[in-house]
Amino acid sequence: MKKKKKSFSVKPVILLSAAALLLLGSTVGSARAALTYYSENYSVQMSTSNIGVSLIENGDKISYRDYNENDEWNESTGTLLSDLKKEKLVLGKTYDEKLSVTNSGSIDSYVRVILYKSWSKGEGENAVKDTTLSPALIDLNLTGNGWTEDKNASTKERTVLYYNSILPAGETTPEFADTLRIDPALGKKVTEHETIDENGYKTITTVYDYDGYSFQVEAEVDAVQTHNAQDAIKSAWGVDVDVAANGDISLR
Amino acid sequence: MKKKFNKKSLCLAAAALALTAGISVNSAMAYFTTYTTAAGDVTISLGSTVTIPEEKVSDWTKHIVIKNTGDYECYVRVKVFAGEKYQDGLVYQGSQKWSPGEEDYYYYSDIVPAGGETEELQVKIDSKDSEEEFNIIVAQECTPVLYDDEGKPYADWNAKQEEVGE
Repeated sequence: MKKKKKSFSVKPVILLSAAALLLLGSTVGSARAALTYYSENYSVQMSTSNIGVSLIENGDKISYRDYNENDEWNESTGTLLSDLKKEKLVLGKTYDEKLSVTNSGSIDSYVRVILYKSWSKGEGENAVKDTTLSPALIDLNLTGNGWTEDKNASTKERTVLYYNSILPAGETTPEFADTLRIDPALGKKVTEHETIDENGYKTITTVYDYDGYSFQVEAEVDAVQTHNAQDAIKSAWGVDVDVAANGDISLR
Repeated sequence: MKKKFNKKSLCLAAAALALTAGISVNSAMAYFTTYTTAAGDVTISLGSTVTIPEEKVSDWTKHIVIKNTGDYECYVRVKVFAGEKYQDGLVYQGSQKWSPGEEDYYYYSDIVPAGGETEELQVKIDSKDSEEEFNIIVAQECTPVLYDDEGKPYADWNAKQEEVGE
């Protein structure tokens, strides 16, 4: 009985201590990592580091997703282009579509925007995507002010924009888009119908081929921490960037 | 005894592995990220508008008013045809907003809003003492209001609707 007890205590103890060491090692590792992220804020106040981002359209906060004090996500998804629905959209007319991003968290971050443009035939649930109509007819004017387009990742339907600098907490970027205009070429495609009524009046009516079509604009805003920027951006967005001394990023 | 050792150490090793695995997963997820999205759509309604000419004849004068009965604003223009003999004798009067332009049409300078109508164009007819019966035909056209790059409205008379009456 005594002998048995002894043999039990030696080997498992070695194993246990090995496990403890391993555990300790990994905890130290992650504590270090955490310290890199938290240190500045922790030294000043007890507030945690919350990341958050908001999409702004014509001065209104449309959508946001912010991490809050209670370890929960505060989020809301809104609708774009609602101003354009108030009046009948006129082809070729330039409408305000000022889009920017606000850092609504408590830590600095890098942000990028992915824009999608597409056409559909019909409305609501009956809408069917029409890929024959060029998304280029939806002319969302990009300002390029502080933003860089990733041409390699962009297609006709998709535009990927990176904000070049660190976006400090609470700050808003310059607008990445300012106006929206639907190419009047859309109204040039017509089919003529000729009818003659009982009085002999002849009416030639032009029917617009693209009447009832709708266009969609979708914006996705992504934000990532600024610490360990290169790794964080690679991990979150899958792109390689160079980080300059002032924090500006450029695509590799 | 050997069997017992194996069982316990295996349990411990498994526990240690699970713990370390758990910890490494945590640290791999340590980057702060967030995202938000928004989408919107707008339907293009490119309906055709309808204009109706109202013509009254009194004292050898045609009083022409074009009414926009459709849902969209438009520009209108009018052409008056008489026989070859009478064409020269037509005298255009009425609102200053009507003025002669390309292709012998008379153009209305303002946009005619949906449900609105133009001011009156008067066409005085000189019968030239003719005994014959003759027709004066008014052809009116409307075209949707288009906008250029600066958002300035203009008319494109190559994209038109026609109505011919007599």
